[in-house]
Amino acid sequence: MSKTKRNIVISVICLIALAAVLAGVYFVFLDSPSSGEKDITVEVYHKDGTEKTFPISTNAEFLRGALEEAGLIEGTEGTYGLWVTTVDGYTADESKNEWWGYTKSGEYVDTAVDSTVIADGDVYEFTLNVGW
Amino acid sequence: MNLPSMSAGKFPLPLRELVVLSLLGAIMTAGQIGFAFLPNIEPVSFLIICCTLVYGRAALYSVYVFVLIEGLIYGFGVWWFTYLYIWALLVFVTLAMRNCRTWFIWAAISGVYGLLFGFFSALPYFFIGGVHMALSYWASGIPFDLLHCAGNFVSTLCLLKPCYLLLSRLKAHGV
Repeated sequence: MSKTKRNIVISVICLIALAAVLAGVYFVFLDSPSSGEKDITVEVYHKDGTEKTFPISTNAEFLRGALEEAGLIEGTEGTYGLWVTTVDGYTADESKNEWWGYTKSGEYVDTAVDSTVIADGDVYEFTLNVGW
Repeated sequence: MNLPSMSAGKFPLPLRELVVLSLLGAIMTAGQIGFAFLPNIEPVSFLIICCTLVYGRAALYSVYVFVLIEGLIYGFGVWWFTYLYIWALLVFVTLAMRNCRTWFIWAAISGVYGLLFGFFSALPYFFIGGVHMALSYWASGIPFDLLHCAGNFVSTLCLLKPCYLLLSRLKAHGV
């Protein structure tokens, strides 16, 4: 085998091995959805300072399902999942740089509502943010 | 009218080359926007590799034109600060390997870069929220890194050679 061919084979093997390692890391860190009924709480913080609390009982495995069942959110489908535009009847005005963000028990959440696995007792806060 | 030759002055690049590099940065931006509907599929990586192979470290001009325009379009969020080092890293990797003319190996390098893009993007979150936040951010984006890898591998394998030959000829003709 020529040196060039050997280098190509080695580089492709390294690429595939690295991809496999990353896939492994993903599945180790991935939260597994659980079936059955869960009680979660959603707190909504509006721009005018009002705060509402919504207790939700659901069999959904992901946050999106629970929120849509409760009629709490609407949004547009994007490449990374649902982009939430409306929460509790208020649609964020993008021309004013408004956007809805959410946290779990005050902690940053790095997944879209589609892929956020919910568990019994979870508390989520949706806050209308202004400015990017 | 004769344009001033900036190579004769203190500026390190001829004006013509500076304009071409700026245009390449604009093409990178257009490419990114054109493919924005596909998750993490972008032509920017192979364009940066191509630009670096032809123009050397001057490709950093194109990179930072691209980064600046991206910030002006999408806003200067945390992600934008990662762009300040993440694309320059690809320039330095390409410079280190610039004698390689095996396109398959460049495709593999571009693929590895796509795989590690999320890891490098997670670095600011280490300073914002610690190891847990950074790891969590990185791990949740791994499926998109895998897509990035596949997209980079294919685009570089198919497009790097013709673009490199075209850009080299243009440069040789003084464009």
